[in-house]
Amino acid sequence: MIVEIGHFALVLSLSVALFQSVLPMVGARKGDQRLMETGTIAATGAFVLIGIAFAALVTANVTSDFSVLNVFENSNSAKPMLYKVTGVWGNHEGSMLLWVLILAFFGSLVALFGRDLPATLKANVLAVQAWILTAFLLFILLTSNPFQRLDPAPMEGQDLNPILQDIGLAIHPPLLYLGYVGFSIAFSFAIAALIDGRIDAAWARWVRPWTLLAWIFLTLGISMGSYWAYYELGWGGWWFWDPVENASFMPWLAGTALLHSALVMEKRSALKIWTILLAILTFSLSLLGTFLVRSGVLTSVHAFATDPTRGVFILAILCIFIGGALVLFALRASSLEGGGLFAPISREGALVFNNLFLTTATATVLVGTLYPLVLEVLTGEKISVGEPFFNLTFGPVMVPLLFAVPFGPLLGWKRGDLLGAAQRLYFAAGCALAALVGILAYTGGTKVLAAFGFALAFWLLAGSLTDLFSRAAFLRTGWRTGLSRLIGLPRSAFGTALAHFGVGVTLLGIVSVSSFEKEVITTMAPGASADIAGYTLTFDRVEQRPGPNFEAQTGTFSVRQGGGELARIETSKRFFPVRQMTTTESGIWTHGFSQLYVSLGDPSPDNRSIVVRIWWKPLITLIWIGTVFMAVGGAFSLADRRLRVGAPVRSRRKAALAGT
Amino acid sequence: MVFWIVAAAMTAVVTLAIVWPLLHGKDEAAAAASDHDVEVYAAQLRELDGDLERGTIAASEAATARAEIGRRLIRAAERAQSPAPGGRVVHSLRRSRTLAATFAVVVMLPAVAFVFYDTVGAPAMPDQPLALREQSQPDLDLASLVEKAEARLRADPTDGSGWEVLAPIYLRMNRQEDAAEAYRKAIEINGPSATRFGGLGEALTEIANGEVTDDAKSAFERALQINASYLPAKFFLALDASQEQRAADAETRWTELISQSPPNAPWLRIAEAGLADARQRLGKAAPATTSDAPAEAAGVASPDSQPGSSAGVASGEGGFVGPDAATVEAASQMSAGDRQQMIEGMVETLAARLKQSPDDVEGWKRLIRSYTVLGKTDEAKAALVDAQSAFPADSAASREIAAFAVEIGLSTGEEATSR
Repeated sequence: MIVEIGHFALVLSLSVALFQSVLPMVGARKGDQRLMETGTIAATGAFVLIGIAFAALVTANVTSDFSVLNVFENSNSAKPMLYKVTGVWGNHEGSMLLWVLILAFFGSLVALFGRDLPATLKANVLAVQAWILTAFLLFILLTSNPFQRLDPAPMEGQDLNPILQDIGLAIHPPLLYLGYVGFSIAFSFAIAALIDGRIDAAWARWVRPWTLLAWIFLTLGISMGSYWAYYELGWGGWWFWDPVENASFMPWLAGTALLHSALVMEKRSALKIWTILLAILTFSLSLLGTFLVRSGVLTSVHAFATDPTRGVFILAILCIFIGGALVLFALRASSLEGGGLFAPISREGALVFNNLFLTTATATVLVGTLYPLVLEVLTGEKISVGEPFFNLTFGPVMVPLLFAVPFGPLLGWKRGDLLGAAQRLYFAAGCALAALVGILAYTGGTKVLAAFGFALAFWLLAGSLTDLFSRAAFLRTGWRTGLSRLIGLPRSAFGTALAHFGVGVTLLGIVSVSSFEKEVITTMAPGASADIAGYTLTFDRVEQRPGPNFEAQTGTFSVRQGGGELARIETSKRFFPVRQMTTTESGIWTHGFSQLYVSLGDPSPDNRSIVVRIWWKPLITLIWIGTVFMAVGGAFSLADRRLRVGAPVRSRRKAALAGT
Repeated sequence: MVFWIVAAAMTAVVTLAIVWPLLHGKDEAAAAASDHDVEVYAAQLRELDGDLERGTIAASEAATARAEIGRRLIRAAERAQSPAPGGRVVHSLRRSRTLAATFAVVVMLPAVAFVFYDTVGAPAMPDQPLALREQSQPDLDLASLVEKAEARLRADPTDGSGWEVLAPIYLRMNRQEDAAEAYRKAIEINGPSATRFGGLGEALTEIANGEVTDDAKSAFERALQINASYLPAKFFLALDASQEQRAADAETRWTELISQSPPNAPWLRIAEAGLADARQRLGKAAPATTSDAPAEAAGVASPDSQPGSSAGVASGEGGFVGPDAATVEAASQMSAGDRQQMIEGMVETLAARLKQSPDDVEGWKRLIRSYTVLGKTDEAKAALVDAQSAFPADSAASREIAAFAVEIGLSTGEEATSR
């Protein structure tokens, strides 16, 4: 019965979403407070109902209720409990349910925390949010119903894809979806403004925190996904320019641009129209990502064509929302009020520069992702666009942008002093130069590109902190005053510095790994040793160990430098009998920020030895640590109280009216 | 029922919650958008001061910015002072709009939910978590199996093999009308065959309380046209001759049937009785029969004295098929193929269940016996190995299985003990 109650709750939420799509918007048009108020309750109700549905599906998974087709196809009674829960969103139907759950969650957040919003804006935003919700609920109920039943229930389920049986599944998709779907709020705000034909000043204040929230989650989600792929796939790569990764990276790039343009709009009421367009584009890219991942078009265009129901449905949603939004934009944009003026060299100008480069970068990723698909549709030829393409296109776009990053926060609003900013960056330039010379000397001048990469990274690291230190003015005022001045700085200043610093940290990791990584691929029998980057790895033994729903072949290695043993690394291959699949559990030893990475390959024909892949990855953890800095920076920025605008005090206004 | 109560309660709560502000909301207009604008611009001015203090904006730029924001602030303040459009004039309009919205929510919201759920949901279907499924044995209950097959056929009535499987089961369950219909569907979809026409004839005969009607007769004749040596049809045609007291015809038919039947054919006793009866009518001496079956059995073949009830012994494997099915079905070999299929299906289910929960000595014994009876000696031996590996070598269960294997002749004592 629980399953069917969940099913019913999901259907009921569709009905609620239908009313939420219409009533508040009519209310906003007619200025009817009562109708507008229904939006708040409907949004909360839809969230609760979808929550019930989600809880029901979780229950079915936990109790191994294989009378639910989705559970039967993706679960197994022998699966550990954690994966029974995370397996809920480890498949198409369940992940779509998580998608709408988060969509409804954001809708209810607007409903609950949007008290300070102008009533009509809030009503319109909730209605637009409900349109998206309705579309995706219909998609779920008509093409991907997770509550489809199976009678009689089979005794055993087909188990979850073993690659997904990892703690990564517990964290990565929810974070990613919080990011993806969070951008729907910016989208709904944009559409609401276009429908209303005016941009409230509050609009600008609201878009940035919501974008920031979504951006923080997306940053962490992508980063988590990257680390997961790194340790689970056993190839030592941390980013593959795989279409699925690109699908989440594109909204991130566009979202980063949106974040910066929203800043201009918030502070200076400029770039309004551009920000609206960017808000539409960012969520459109989220939808595109959902389409790419969920329609099956990526695995094969052919497979998509043979069972097109789902793909065509999402494609229709995509076209209606993106097309509709852009048409609305074309019709209304010209009637919107422009904002403040600024000189080309200014904080605003720097942010426009940022936007220009980020959108170009997004476009290159978009081309690299869609071109193979289009080519396959048109000619049937299958190509894969990978690292070389992106190194040639994405790289050159990012370099000038990263170079410019430290300048931005140092430029004044409206009209900035580029020379003055450059002077304040002397220290950062010194750091960069030192890195350049140091690396050239270390490598004997063989790695010029790497040297410049390191220089850029240090330029970013030092440059992003310059603003904080020069504002605190340690040199002029001494430590004590400087420290108190530092603490007194607005949190958004810390946010900017931390996030930019994080970019530098990530860049440092990327540059270091791509230029100084070491790799050894060899066949080893127990007792054999291999040398890598000054360490000696000894293959101690290999043994079979049973797991809950797999058999593991585990190899143990000891790491030595000089004489003493530094660490032991265990790495294994797991065989999952239900799915007849093997996964690698790479053995990783973290030493400082660097890692030694070991994974097992196939055994030799006589079964005496085994292929072992060993990598030395210098400073690789910085890649992910940097993203944590970015997210923390975002959180600081979000916490800046200055940017909270209260509701107009009604009593004051009433009193004023009574007085006149 | 509980489900519907919960569903109705959820719907009621949601509907009422959405209707609530429509009925009890304040009509007082909220602060107009321009009020919010004023607030935001004022905040921007305050921030500008902060920025100036920290030196993130030059003094002259701050002055122009202040002027910009100030102009916007004044405009917004002007808008805020001007009275909002509408007011009392639209009061009645607003009232009717509220009523319409309330009505729409109260009627349509539940309607959409229930109608939509009705098309996609399965309200009557209970949860079947693993714990619950483990308690209940695999469902071998014939009636519920039939129900499920019927549901499937309702969804897809063109499934010929479905009808084909169901027809003989109907016959055994004494649902002759359904059996006849199922045979007709099977013939229509899968084409004519001796078994299908034979089955149809048998069903029609049973409907007529054992009298071979003309329809039934033509069905049996069709069966014989397709397969001239199809014995069940010959049996019923001979029975028909006896019933219509065409003694000479009956004598030839019974004689032919007896001569062609294998020595253990379940109908032999009736056939011999029928032959004796016919000869008696012809004034011939009754042959020496091996059986002393009552003579009336041949003449008045009521459903109770159908071949079935007289020969429950024919089925040697009555170990795991329900007794009803066994007796009803036993005599007629017509549905031998279907029967075989059904038995094998049940054995498969048993084997699958034992794979999941091998800790079941009786289950293993039943499985091994079933394989032996079906003549699948290899499978039986494999099952024996599986069964023994499921228990510790020296356990009582293992010994019991070994002894059982010797008992049914699957293994010699040496093999069993040497394991």
